Amino acid sequence: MKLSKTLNKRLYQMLEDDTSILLLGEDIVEPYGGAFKITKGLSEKFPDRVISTPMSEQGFLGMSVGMALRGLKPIVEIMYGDFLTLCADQLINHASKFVDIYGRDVPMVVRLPVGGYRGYGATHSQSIEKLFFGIPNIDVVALSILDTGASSLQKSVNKGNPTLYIENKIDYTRDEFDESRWNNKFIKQSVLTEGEFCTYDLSLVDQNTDSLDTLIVTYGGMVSLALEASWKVFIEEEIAAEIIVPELISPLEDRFISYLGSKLQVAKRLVVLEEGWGEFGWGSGLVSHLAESGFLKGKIVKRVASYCQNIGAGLEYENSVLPTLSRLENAMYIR
Amino acid sequence: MERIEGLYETMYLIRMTEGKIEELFTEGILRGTTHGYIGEEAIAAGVLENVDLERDIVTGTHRSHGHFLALTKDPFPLISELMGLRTGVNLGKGGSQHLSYKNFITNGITGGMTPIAVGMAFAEKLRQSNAIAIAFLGDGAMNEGYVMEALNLSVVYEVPILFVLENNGYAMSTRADRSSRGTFSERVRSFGLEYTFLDSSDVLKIADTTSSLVADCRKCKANFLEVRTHRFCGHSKNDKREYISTQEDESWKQKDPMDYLEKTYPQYDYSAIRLVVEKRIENAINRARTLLSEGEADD
Repeated sequence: MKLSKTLNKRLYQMLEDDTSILLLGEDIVEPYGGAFKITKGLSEKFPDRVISTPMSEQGFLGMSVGMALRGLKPIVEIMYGDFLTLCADQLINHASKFVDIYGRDVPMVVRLPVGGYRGYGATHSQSIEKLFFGIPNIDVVALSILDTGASSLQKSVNKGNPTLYIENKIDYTRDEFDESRWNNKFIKQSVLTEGEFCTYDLSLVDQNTDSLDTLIVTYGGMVSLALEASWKVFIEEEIAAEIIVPELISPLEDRFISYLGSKLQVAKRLVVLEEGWGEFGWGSGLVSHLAESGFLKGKIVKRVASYCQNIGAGLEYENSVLPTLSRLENAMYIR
Repeated sequence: MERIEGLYETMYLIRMTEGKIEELFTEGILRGTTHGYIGEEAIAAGVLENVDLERDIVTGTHRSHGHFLALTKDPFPLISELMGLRTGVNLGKGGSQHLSYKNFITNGITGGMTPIAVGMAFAEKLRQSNAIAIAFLGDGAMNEGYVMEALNLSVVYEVPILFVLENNGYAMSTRADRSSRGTFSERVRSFGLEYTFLDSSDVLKIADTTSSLVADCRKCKANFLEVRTHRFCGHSKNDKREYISTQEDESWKQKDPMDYLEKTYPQYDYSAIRLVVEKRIENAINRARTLLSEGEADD
């Protein structure tokens, strides 16, 4: 099933199960059903709880903070994640503060279609979550093809923090991960399952447990690129990679860092892959955590991310900025 | 205690507490900053006479000591909050601008609480609780984009909210007529909002007007009340008020809401009320001072 359909089904189920959940966003009601059709049909079934908003992003995001303070569980769709900059004040100066300065519950989720590779140009292609990492009390959770039935959306609501929920636009057209597509050579495991969010681990079937060429750590829409590159270098170069994908990408949990540490006891190389700008990016934080914990001694460390340039609309411009298969391949075996 | 005595007491409590807070800053006991409410007391006292905080919602601003005192009548949680003590209303984490108590919540960003208040009112409408939200804002906030968004949203979703604009004529040091064109009434009415104007000289008028506006809000309607007022203290603790003329101060002194009550209703013993309030503030400060010095001794 395509991820767009998976999300639609999940939202339907959540609205049905919990009457305190409501959806807000631009053009999300019928007949439009959202810019990416994620809310298609929902307003017909739940007319009071699927609410079309004016183009007032900071206004209706502020409203959702107020709704959450009153015990509702709003899920807001920001049509393009890029527009989240308009809402930064309500998130950082309001929602975040109310949690620990006032000790209040603010159970709200902000759904963010992000990412490039679709030619939408500089203001509709960014991985904007990059600006919101490391903010107190703001969880950033990324959907990926590894998540069956978009369970991470339900988990985000259950946890009850102000949460940015990252959906890579290009993933909407992708199917959930299917082992048969990769000749059953990759095994998907859920690890670190004892908390609200889990981490996914993709390893090769015949992987030798006491040596590993490359450990790839990534999230969201980059999982497909990681799979493709891992498959290719395995076939062509006999290089074995393991892919680690957390659902919760900020804050970085200690148990996640420790898990990576245990993997790095056997892995020779670490590659951190993200679609956002690499400068001061997700990988910067992750690598510094790992280094401080002493997990990187003697390791080759590579990062693959967007170059610090705006994302031009044309295919060549996109490919000159965003991570590509060849850049990832190179990072996996060139010194 | 009769209603007029109660309103006088609230206003005097606010004025004297704010005055004492200024003194504590001068003494060097308080850290950070403060935004005083001296001169604007009749708004908090009059408007909030109509609020049941167990049910209704109030959002404040960076200048919310007066709102807090009108709702609680208790200076101790505020003073100890300003001292950073655990006995403060927010355990000393919030300080002057960040206060949260039951259904009352403020924050330090100009106008930022207004869209939140609309969302809170929306939630109450959805659950048919008959509660309303009162959202205070200042004239400076009228030039913030999300305040305009909030006004529009309140009408689009027909939520039970009363916006109360405390227009003291200055956004910090910038006079309202230098930062805005048109009038606030035109602006507000253009959203399809009902607009009412008062000044801060008559607390009874503010209370009675609010009472009828609140009744209207309970029918799931947004309303807007502007109260023109004057701040007799600096914007914040280091403000010498060089931008305010003495003539302006003098003309507003003629409209002092406490003088007005004393002149219009001479049958009450106002000096007795003042004594009781002064004692209450003194006790609160002494209690907080003791805790503060004990805390220092522990360090």
